[in-house]
Amino acid sequence: MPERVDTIIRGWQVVTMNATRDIIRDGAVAVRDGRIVAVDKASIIDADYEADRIIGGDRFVVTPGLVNSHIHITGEPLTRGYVPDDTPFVENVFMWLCPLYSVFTAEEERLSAQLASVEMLKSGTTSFLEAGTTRFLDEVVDGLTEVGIRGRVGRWVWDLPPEPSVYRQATDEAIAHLEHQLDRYPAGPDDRIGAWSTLVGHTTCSDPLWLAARELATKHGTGMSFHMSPAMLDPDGFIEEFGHRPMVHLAELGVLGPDVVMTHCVQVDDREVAIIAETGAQVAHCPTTALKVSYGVTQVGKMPEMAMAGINLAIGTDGNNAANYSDMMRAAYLVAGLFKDARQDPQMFPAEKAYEMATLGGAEAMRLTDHIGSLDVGKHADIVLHDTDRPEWRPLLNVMNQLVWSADGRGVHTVLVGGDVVVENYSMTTLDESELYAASQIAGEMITARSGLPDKAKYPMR
Amino acid sequence: MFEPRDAPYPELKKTHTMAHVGRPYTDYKPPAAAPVWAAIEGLARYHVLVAALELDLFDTMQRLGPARIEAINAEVRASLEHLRTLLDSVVVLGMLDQVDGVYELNDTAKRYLVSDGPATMAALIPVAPGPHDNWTRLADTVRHGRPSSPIEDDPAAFYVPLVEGTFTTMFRCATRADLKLRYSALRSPRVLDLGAGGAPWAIAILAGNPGATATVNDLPGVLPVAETKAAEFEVGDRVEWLPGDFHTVPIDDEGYDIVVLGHICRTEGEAGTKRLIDRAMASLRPEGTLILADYFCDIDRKLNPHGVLMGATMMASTLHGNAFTAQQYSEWIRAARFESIRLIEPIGFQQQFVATKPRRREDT
Repeated sequence: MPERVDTIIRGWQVVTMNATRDIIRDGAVAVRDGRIVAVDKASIIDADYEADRIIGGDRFVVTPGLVNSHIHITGEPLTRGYVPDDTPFVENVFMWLCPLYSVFTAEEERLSAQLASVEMLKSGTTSFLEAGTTRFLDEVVDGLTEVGIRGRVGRWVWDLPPEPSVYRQATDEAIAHLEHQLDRYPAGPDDRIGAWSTLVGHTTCSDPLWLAARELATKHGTGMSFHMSPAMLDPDGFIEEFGHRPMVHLAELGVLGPDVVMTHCVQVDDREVAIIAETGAQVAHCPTTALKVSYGVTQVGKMPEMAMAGINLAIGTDGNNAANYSDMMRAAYLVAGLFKDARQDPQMFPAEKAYEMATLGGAEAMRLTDHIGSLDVGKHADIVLHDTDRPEWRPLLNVMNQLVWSADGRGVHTVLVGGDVVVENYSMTTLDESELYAASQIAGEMITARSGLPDKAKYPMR
Repeated sequence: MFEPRDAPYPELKKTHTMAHVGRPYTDYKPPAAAPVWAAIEGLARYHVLVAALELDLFDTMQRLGPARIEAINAEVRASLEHLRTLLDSVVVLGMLDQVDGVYELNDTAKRYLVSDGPATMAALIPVAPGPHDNWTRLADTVRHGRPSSPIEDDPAAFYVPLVEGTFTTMFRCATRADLKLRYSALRSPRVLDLGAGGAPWAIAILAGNPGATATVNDLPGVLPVAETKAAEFEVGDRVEWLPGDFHTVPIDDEGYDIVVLGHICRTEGEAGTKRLIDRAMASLRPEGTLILADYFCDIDRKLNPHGVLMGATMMASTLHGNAFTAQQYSEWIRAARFESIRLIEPIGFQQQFVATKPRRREDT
C-alpha cells in the first residue's frame, strides 16, 4: 500500500548533493509536511508513495535550492546599478552606498526585501544570509514572510561611525538592537525567517560590541556574521589601532569560531588564513563584488589556500550596486572561473566544488547543514526545477558542468521552499510581480532623487 | 555619562576608557580650534579674493606670466608691501603659486579667476553672496524673521550684476547638460525659461539645436541681459521675450517641450516653489521635460555645506528664500505628477532635477 505524501517532484536528472553526490536519472523526490521523505528513481517513488500533487517531469533537472551566504536585501535592490562602476572602494561605500541606504523608508525596505527575495527565488536560491544592514527589521520580516523565502536577517549594527545619523548608535544601543532582534526572531531550524547576531564589521565596531555580539550569538545559538577585509582599509585600520591585522585581533578577542561567517576576506595574509582555519570560522566569497569594486581577488585573494586549509567557503552575491544581480548561478560561474585564470590552473575550483559551495557550503554557513543544501531524507524540501527546454541546456551531457558553466537563473522554472511552491512556470505564486516591479520603479526613482546623489550614467537619455 | 579626560596613569587608562566609552583606547585630546579659525578667516579669505579681482591681479598676471612683485606692481601701481601681503594671502588660499619670490597663476586661477578663463567665476565672486551689508546684520535678520534690505525691494539692481556674473558657469553647465539630456537631438523643441536671468539654459539649448525656439521670461529690468547674451550667441531671432513676474506672467498651456526653472526656486520658499513646479507641469506638453536647477541640501541638512550655507545666503538677503533638501524637491516634483525623476550634475557644484510629464493616457 503506497504511503501518502503531499508532493512528488519528478526530474530527468535529480542532482542530490547527498554524501555520495548521486545524480539520479529519471528520479523523484517525495515531500511531506515540508520535508523530504524519499529521494530515488521515479519508478521506486511511484511504487512507494502516492501524492496529492505531482510536479516536474522529463524536461527538468532537479536540484537543491541554492544558498546565498551574503546579500543586502535592503539599501541596494531598489538602487540597483545607480552607483557608477568606476568608483573606488572608499567612494563607493561612503559617498554612495551609506547615503543611499540611509534615505529608505520602512515601506521601501519592505519592498526592497521582497524584490531581492523574488529575484533570488526566481533564479533558484531558496535560502539567504542577509548582510545585517537592515534598518526596519519588522517590515522586512513581514515582506519576506509574504514572499516565502528562507533567510537569516539582522539590523545595521555598529557603534563607531557617527554618520549617517540614522545609523548612529552608542555601544549600548547597538547591543540592545542585537538582543532585541535575537529575542524577537528566533532562528531555529524550522523558522523560515530568523535573526542572527550580525555586525557591519570592518572597522566600525568597538571591542565591547564585538564581544557582546559574540556572546549573544553563543547564547541564542545563532551564527554571527560581518564584513571584513575586502580592501586594505580594514587591515590598515586594525594595524593602526591595534598593531596587528583583523584576524589576529578578532581571534585574540575570542570572536572567531565555527559559527562565524566573514564576508569578503580578500586582503588577508597567510597567518590570517591559518587563524581562520584554526578557529573554524567560515568565509562568504562574493566574486562579483570583488571584480566590480576592484578588490584584487584574483591578484591577492587566497581562496584556494583557504579551501586547502579546510575553511568552509560559501558564496554570496552581495549588494546590487556591488554585483547588480542576485543570481547565485552567475556567482558560482565566477567562483569556478576566477582562480582557474588567476593561477593558470584549470584544476582550481572545479564546477562541482563551486556548486558545493553554493549549496552545502551555504548550508554550513547558515548553520543548517542538517536541514538544507542537499536533497536528503529529512531535510527541508527546498527544491529547484531547471527547465532543459532551453538552448543553453541542450544537449544535456554533463549536468554539473552545465549547471555552473552553461545555465544561469533564467532557466529556473519551478521552486519549492519547505514544500511550498513559490515559483511556478517562471512566475511567483505568492505575490503579484507586476505590482512589485511598478512599485520598485517608483521607489527607486524617489530614493535616488531624495538622496541628492546625481545620476552619473555616462550616456545621455532623452 | 562618562566625561573623557586626560588620565594621569596611561597604563590604566586603556581599561577605563574601554569600559566607559565602549571603544578602543585612544588618548583624549581637546578638539582643535580649526573650525573656529576657519570661520574667522572666512571673511579675510573672501575679501582677499575680491580685492585681488578688483585690482585686476589675475588678468594682469596672465599677461605678465611668471613675475616678481616689482614687475606686477609696475602694472597694478599699488603699495608694494601691501600688494605683497595680498599676493601671499592669495597664495595660501591656493589660488596662486609662488616659488622663490616669483608669482604665477596656478591651474585654479587660470580656469576660474582670469576673466576669460574657460569656466571663469571672476564676475560671480563679488555678487554671489548677495549684498554684503546684509551679512553684517544677520543676527537682526534672524531675530526679526526678515532682512532689513531684502533684494526684493529693488530686484533688478541686484539681479543684473548677478546674472551677468553667473552666466559663464551656468552656460557651461547648461551646455554640458546636453551630454545627459541630448536636447540637441530633439525635433524643433520649444523651450520656456522662467526667471531666466541671462538665459544660459535657453541660449545653450538654442545654440545646441538649430530647430529650437524659446520663450524667455524675467523682470523687465533684467531681461536686457538675456537679450544681449542671446545676440552674442546669435540666437536672438528664435527667442520670444516675455517680461514679467514668473508667478503671474501668462504662459501657454501644454505649449513647451522643455521648461527651465533655473536657480529661481530658492528665493520663493516652499509655497512659491510648488506653484512654479505646477506652472511647469501645466505649460509642458506630454512627455515634456522639466529642468529644475538649484543648490540642494542633503537629507540631514548637514553633510553638504554648500547647500546648507546657500540657505543662510538666502536668509540674509531675501524675504522667502531658503535651501531645501533633495528629498523635498523630489517629493514636490512627484506630487505635481511628474515621472522619471532624476538628479543630474553636468559640472561640479551644479545639480538639476530632470523629470518628465506623463504621456497622455490614450498614447500609452
